[in-house]
Amino acid sequence: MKKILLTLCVGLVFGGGLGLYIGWFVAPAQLTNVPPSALNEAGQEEYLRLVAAAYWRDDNLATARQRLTNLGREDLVDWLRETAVDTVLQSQSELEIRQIVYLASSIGLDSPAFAPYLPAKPVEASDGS
Amino acid sequence: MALNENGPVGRQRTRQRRQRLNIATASFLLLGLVLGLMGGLYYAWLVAPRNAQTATAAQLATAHQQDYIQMVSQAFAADGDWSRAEARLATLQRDDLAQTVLAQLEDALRQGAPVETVRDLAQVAERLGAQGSALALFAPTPVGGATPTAEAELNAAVPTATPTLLPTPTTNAPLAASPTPTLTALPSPSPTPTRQPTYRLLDQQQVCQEYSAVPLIEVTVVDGLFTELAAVEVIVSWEGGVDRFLTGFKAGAGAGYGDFVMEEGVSYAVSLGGETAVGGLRADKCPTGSAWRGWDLRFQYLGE
Repeated sequence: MKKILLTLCVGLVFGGGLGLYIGWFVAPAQLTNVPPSALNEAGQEEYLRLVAAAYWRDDNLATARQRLTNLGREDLVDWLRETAVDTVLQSQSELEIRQIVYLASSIGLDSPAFAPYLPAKPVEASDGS
Repeated sequence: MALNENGPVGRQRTRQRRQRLNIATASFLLLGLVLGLMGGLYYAWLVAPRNAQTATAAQLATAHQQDYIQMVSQAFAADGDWSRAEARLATLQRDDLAQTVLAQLEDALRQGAPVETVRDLAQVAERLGAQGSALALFAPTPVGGATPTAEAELNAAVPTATPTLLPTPTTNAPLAASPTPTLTALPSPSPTPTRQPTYRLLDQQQVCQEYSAVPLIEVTVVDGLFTELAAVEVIVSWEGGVDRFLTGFKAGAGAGYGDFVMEEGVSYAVSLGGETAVGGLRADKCPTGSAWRGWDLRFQYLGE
């Protein structure tokens, strides 16, 4: 009986290993119908910029929050602040900077880097132009 | 018993027992392998896929792709950067992008999405070259049949000399000095073909007009977003006569409203954009009461 159980365990170990090898390397899963949380890092950053642009356009904070939640990041707040600061430091487009600063500040984030762009969205820009 | 086991029968039984044991061992090994393989594949494909966070926008679920398109259209409306919007849309890797955006626009219309949402989508759909009735209704460009055009066409229709008051140049002239009025003929407008705006009749109702002492043809013109349009020329014709009016000049009424007083027994036709839209409009009395029964017409501007 011991020998049979041992054989079963050996089979499980080898089968499991083989399954992992096939599933990860030989025939990895093809991602389809995924949520935004499955996007790669660049895709998530682009998604964030789109969320900021859409929020700039429609002022719908609830939708913006929901979209950010869809990214499924545990470090969402820190990541958003970091990306916003990076955008302030690197982006050539003032509109893009203002959009992301507007989103970040609306969510309650703050940074000295945001200061030159606050208030991020003047009243006359409310039509999105 | 011991003799039996050591005998030929006993050895045969022992051999058979060993064979059974080997078969059972092999079966359990195989069972373990199969179960292990299934478990391994389940874990590797579903629980912790190796490429869990390597998806692109093209791999997003349909609902998220629609949301993505919506955001791209809003971003484009905000920054006007079409090349960037195009690059963002290209990441979706869809061959039928124009039709997809158009379908999304139609869905947004059905679901009563905010006007800005629809307009932003329409703008992108138009840029992508999509064509459809929804796009014609919600043309993203400001409607051209409105304010200046109708007035300009009205003026162009009557090319007459316009009196212009030209002040005579004088040096240190006192303010009281009156300038000499000069009649200057402006050059006649060149006969360039003008594109006629297109309208469609949304609604036509014969209504009891208790609020009016005379029967009226009441016309309201709206654009694709159902915003009332001012200064749209409406032509009313009848046997032996024609008249015209512009919407938006009735105090206390909407910007797209205009009306025309009817006479009893006369059949009227109403034209917009150079085409007769409605004919055979007659005024009569309401079945109950003494009020007049006139016509309420509602038109929508479709573009040029």
